[in-house]
Amino acid sequence: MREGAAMEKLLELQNVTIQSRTRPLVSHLSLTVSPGEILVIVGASGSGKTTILKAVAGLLPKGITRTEGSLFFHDKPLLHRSDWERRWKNHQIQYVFQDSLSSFCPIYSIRRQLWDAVGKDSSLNWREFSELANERAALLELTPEALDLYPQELSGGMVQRAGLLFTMLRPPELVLADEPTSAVDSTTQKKMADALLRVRRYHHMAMILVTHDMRLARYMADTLLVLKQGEVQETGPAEAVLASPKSAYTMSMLELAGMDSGEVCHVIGS
Amino acid sequence: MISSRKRRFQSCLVLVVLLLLSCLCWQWLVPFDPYAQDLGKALRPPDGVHLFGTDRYGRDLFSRVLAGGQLTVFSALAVVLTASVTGSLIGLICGYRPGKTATLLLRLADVFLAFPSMVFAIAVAGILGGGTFNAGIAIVLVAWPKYTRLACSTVLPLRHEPFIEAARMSGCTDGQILFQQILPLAVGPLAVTAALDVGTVIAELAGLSFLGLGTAPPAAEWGSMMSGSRNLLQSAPWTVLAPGLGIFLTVAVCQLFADALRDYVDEKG
Repeated sequence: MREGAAMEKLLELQNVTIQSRTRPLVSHLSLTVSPGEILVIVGASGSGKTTILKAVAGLLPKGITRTEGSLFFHDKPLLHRSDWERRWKNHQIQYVFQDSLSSFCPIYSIRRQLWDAVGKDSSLNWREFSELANERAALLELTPEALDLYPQELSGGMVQRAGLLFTMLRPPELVLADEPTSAVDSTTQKKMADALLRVRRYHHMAMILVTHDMRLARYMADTLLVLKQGEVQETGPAEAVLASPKSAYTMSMLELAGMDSGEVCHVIGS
Repeated sequence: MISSRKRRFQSCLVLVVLLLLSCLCWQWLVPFDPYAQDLGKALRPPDGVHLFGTDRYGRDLFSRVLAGGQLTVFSALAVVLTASVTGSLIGLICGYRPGKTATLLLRLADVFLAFPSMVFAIAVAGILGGGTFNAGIAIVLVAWPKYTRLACSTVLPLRHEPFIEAARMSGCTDGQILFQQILPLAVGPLAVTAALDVGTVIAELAGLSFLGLGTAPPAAEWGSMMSGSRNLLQSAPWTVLAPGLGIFLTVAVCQLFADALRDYVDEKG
């Protein structure tokens, strides 16, 4: 099932080039994301996937700058830090970090951090929020007890699942997920993917997902963007790209993942 | 099972509580009025009645040492609290929001750190005039920069941690990030420094009083008591040793507590 094919643009990148001090990281990238659409960016390590996400989130680290191009959110340009801060405060954009453990403060329990980030200014009280958190955590195979632990007390996979809970408790308009399932087994990966698809279905939430995993990409993507050393190799509707890849790089990625082009019924976890 | 570090921390905490209680409840502990003069008993050496002997006015030194603890210890605590809170706040803000103002404040801290602290405190107290309050201000002025530097250096690497970015993205204000996420992580080293500083400040306040720039007689304050008796050091050494013992014990308890706190904080991570 593929949703979110509305023509309205939620996010648009026009001819964006991002550079570090020594070299270009992303060159002349243009893309659009509509509300409810899932765009998956695939590519090898160092191809600039995370850099694109950070640029969209307004989190480019010092020394890495956007030298060309424009970003628009709801047709309004994202120029200054305040433009992003306004979207963060309104919970319009959310980022799921690759290193989930370091995205949690080490001195508070997971539950407390969920409450601080998404519960406090909701209409729920602590008890109601806590019950909702338990319910959503169960979808990701996390026990209520796990939510009361400190992040460093959880396994890598558990922290990663806990990182997705922010999105599941308060779905934003756009989620930027940086390899959110890299530390879990394929069964749990499927459950996480299903949970995200369910949130997307009910809340019409758009997502840019970065992954190496072609199977996950196939399972989740409405649109697929293949990146190699900062340059777009191929982009288009996921089914079309996977069924008949035009670039040799995409073909080699599919081959390496053990997937034949046209194998559209294969799902992760099965 | 209680770890040995925790047990040591608890023992030191008991010592600190006992010290503070003796400073607070000295009225019920002193055998004589610390201000009552009896020239007939002047300069008596320590014995069963006057445990620490008497001073040149016949005042019981044990009672004066107990009474002096309140002024000495609580002035030191007030000075440390003011310097640590002010210095830490400046450091937290400078570390979190570097810029021209932050650079200016940090350079100012460097200027203060460049002078030997006691010499600077003597100069400030000399300008402001004598008295406990002015001596306290002089020491606050020389003590705040180290907290600023420490807080700033703790915050700087935390500023770009993903969990701070995540907090910012979830709509937390700068104040919430500073006080709920960053301060609790920085508070360990700051608290240990403050605990270590209590002993130093007591010695510095006593030093200023000894030079006549702190508390003035007849108030029972350890530095001032030592200063008042310094010409009796050879003929009646107990008049200097008694308040000296007060300073020694208090500084030792503070240092032991600071060490135990540091170990305990390290263990808790």
